[in-house]
Amino acid sequence: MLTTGSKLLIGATVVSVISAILFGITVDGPGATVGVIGLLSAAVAFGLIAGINVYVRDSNAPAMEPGVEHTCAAARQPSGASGWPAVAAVGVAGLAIGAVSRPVVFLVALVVVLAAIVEWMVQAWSERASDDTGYNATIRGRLLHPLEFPVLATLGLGALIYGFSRIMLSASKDAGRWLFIAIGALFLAGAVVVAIYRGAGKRTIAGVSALAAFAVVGVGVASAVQGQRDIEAHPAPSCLSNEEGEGDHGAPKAPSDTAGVYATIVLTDSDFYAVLGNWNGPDKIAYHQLSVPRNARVSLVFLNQTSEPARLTARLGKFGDAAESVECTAMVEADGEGYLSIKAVNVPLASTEPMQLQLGGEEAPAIEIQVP
Amino acid sequence: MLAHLPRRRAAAALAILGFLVAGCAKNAPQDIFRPAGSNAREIDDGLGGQKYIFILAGVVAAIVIAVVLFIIFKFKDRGQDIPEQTHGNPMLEIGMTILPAIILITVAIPTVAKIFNLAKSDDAACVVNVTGQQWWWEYDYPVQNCGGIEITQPIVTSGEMVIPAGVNVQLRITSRDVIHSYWIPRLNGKRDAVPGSLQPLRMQADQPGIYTGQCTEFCGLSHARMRQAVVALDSDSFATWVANQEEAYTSPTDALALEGEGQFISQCARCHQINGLTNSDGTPVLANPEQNLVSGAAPNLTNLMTRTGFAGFTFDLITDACREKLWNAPSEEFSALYLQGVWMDSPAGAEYPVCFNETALREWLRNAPGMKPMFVDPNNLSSTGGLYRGMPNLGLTEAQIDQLIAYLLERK
Repeated sequence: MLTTGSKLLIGATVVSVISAILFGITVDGPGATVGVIGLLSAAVAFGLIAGINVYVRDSNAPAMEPGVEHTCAAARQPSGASGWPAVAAVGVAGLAIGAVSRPVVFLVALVVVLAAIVEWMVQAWSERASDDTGYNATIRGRLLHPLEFPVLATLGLGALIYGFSRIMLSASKDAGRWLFIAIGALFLAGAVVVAIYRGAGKRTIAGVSALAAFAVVGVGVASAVQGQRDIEAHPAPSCLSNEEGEGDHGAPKAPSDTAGVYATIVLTDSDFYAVLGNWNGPDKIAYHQLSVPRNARVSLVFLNQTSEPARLTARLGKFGDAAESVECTAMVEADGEGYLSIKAVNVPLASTEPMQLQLGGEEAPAIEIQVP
Repeated sequence: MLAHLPRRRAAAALAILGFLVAGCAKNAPQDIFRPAGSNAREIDDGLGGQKYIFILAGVVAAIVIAVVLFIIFKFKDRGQDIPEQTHGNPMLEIGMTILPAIILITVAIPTVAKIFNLAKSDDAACVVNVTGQQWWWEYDYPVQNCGGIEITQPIVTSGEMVIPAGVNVQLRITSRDVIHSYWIPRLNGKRDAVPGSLQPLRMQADQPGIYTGQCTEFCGLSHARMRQAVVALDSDSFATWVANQEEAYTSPTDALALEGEGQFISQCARCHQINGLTNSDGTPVLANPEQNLVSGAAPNLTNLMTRTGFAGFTFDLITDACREKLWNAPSEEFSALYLQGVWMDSPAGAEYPVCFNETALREWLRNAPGMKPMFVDPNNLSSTGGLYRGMPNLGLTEAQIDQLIAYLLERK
């Protein structure tokens, strides 16, 4: 005998098929195919579920075994109260707050609500799985621990790292060094103590570790509230100057990546020229013009083969009212190398300033930049 | 013979035969087993060459498949007793380790040597910068002596790269947007075009002819329509081509074409450059593709009608008959035929009075994204900050298209 649920699903299947036929006959245009496919898909889905439902008799246990609903594990009362509804409530409140304030609050609240739903659902299911409370806890763990452990570990480590980074950012540069050494030394000392006194119990070690973690996070929060120290920004090198300036300090002076170099710019005592990258042909030329594809970023290596420091400056044009586009290396020491990445956005004809490679502020010697 | 086989086996045999016969196509312009230049031959020939490795790999595959099939059929479960179970056979295991190692070493040594040979650029006598973007290739020729021919000002073209036959040309490949890959199968292997980096690739064609390829790194919506060609010309013809590319711009004299020049300035010059084109006040007309396109570049159309294809070499600028004749021309006739370019009036010696594929260009001007899918819906450009990926539908009238075609036909 078919159950009510099965009848409902079979009916839905039949209605979907009839609707698909009628839709296909009556509706024209590009939407007709989509509609028929949608309705037929619904019919297939309903049919599948109806078949399963008939097979399992609508999961109607009393129909198969009268009275079982009073004796089965699912009929038992839950073993204890659950905290997840409260978490879900906080999440829903967060959703409301996030909807009118910041999207990030909404997203976090959404994650909290989803997590609470999943946890609550699995807890409720596992508590009714059998009469054995221990077994129920085990199967809950099997389902959720693979999710819970990595997430909690990530959150815990994230909080630690974030807290530590806030501490280091708020401390002065000198204090930061000493702090880093002190924390490292404390960690090492703790590990040595644990290694020597093997009698220390797991709980003691876990307690001390937790206290240390809370301390780091707590001080980190306090540091975040206090704000980070003033961090001095490195000024950009002054491209149209031949003097070493503040911006040259700390700037990289050796190419970090010489693969795929477009051209090597060489400065000797007698010449200033370009050699095309990846071409060692017989016609390897000391170019005094460099053809650069428009709007493609290319990299240059600057070889300073003189006995004086020098800077490679690329003047990449002044178009309309915009400021002149200038890029340069830091001051490159004698017999040193510098690296420069340039992008010419327009052709020299459109520029009111020359487009060329030069040495700092000196307009000559120069390598003309051509942009075809 | 197949009639004697059971139906299933006959079907399987037919399927295998179909696969084998598919490799027999004569008109396969991208056939890697028909090298047409020294670099492709380097890949093809010798102990580490693809031909021998293909055969070796085929033999190994055949042996493995045969052994697997033998085991499947020999030990198929027919209700027989389970055979005696054994574990370990040192001699067999050592042999099965050493044999593949020997095969791999045999293949690796000459292959590595070939890689180094292909990376050489000592004998490259010309250099071309190749820049990829969605979905076409740009070629620019710096000022240089290219295989004995002086290039006195930078040349820029797109779709098809023209090189002198018999000369090793060094390509310097990069990209403006995403990663692409340049491949002319009959001339050399593939090389990725990576934004911000320069990848070298040597290219040489023994004989004049056209050698086609295809972008081989998925690069977006019209990746399949990002094609390319290398056109090799004999030395004299290459010199003629260079001289033609360097010729100064001349304004059209025909009234319709003159109107087309105005249309070009107002409709097309936002992205496309025609070198030498000036406004009515004499100031140069300069394209600003960086303000309109994600890649920041559009094909330079200065000498459009010297090419045989357009829109990333996807569509022909010449008619099917002319294309057939050009592509199948003997190498000694090819260069002269190519230099004729696209014509409307029969030049001396031309077999066909009209070679211009007007239908394709007209349709392109009418609705470019209808021919080649591109991200050019003006209402859906928020993700690109209002910039297009490709050519949008400009909504040109038929009269405007007539004028533009008349103008573009003179760009040769």
